[in-house]
Amino acid sequence: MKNQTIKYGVVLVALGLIVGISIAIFLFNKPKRDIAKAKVEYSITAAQLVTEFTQNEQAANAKYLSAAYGKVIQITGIVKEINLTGDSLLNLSLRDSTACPGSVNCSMEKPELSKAMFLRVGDKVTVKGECTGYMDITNEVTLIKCSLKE
Amino acid sequence: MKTKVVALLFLLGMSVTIIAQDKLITKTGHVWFYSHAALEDIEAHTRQAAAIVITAKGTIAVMIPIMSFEFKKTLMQEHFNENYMESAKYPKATFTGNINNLSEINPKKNGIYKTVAEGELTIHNVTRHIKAEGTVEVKDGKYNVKSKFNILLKDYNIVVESRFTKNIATVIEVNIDLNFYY
Repeated sequence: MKNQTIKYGVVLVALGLIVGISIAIFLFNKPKRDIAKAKVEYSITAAQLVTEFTQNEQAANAKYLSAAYGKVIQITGIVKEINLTGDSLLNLSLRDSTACPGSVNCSMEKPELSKAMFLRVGDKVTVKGECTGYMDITNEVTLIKCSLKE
Repeated sequence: MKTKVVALLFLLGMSVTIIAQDKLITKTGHVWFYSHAALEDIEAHTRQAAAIVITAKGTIAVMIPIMSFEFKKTLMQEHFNENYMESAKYPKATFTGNINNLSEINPKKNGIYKTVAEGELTIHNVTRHIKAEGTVEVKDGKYNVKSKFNILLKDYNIVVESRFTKNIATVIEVNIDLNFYY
């Protein structure tokens, strides 16, 4: 009887350990958030986004940033600048018209390069990415992990 | 009358061009940092640093969105934003200061010049005076500013729990590479 209890105890502890270690390994190697597949929280134009940040940066930060990462948003705008920023890396700058004072700076994901490199200044595009804040010295809202939408 | 207006417009146009040349801008600066600790090495990169330099005065302003730093491990990025940097509350790091001898650099002469930048660095809502060595490279009229310096986490009120002291270094190496377009 006593032996039986010890046996069950050992099995239970072993099971607990296995489950615990698996969870720890899974959490440690938590896969990257797939922004391309993530749910869009806000879908707006580049000018609207810039205006929200220029008018009330604190309110916009509260709206577009959560504690652990920026929220996933979708922006429509016209390509203003295309800048290569490293090996297979590219940033797109979007605005709505030449009258729009600011722009949205989008760091594209590496696999997007093959599509993004065919863009020209003036093209209308929709980009999905994670908002990372607002740089007032250049009047740019910043987005990372961006992908182009058809 | 007409000629006067034309002349005035011409002068205005000229002065605007001169002012424009005086100002260097980038919105895609590369900033990255390393933490070398007993148990692991951590690094993170961003290509969204914004910077403006007024060459005649030698002044520089840099702004970095903290949430734009990307790590290899998602969990690290989440801890970085949530527990250490409080990024939603303090979404950017800034530096305002001077680059020594910048006005003496000839933009028409290619070369790499050693320099020192000095000014106020704000991270995690704490501002400190820092001095960092670096280089200014001039290539075909374009400027590239690079610097590497160390910061102490405790200087910026960034507290690492005792159970992570073997994972996160107390001194962080920061690298800056600003590719000015104009």
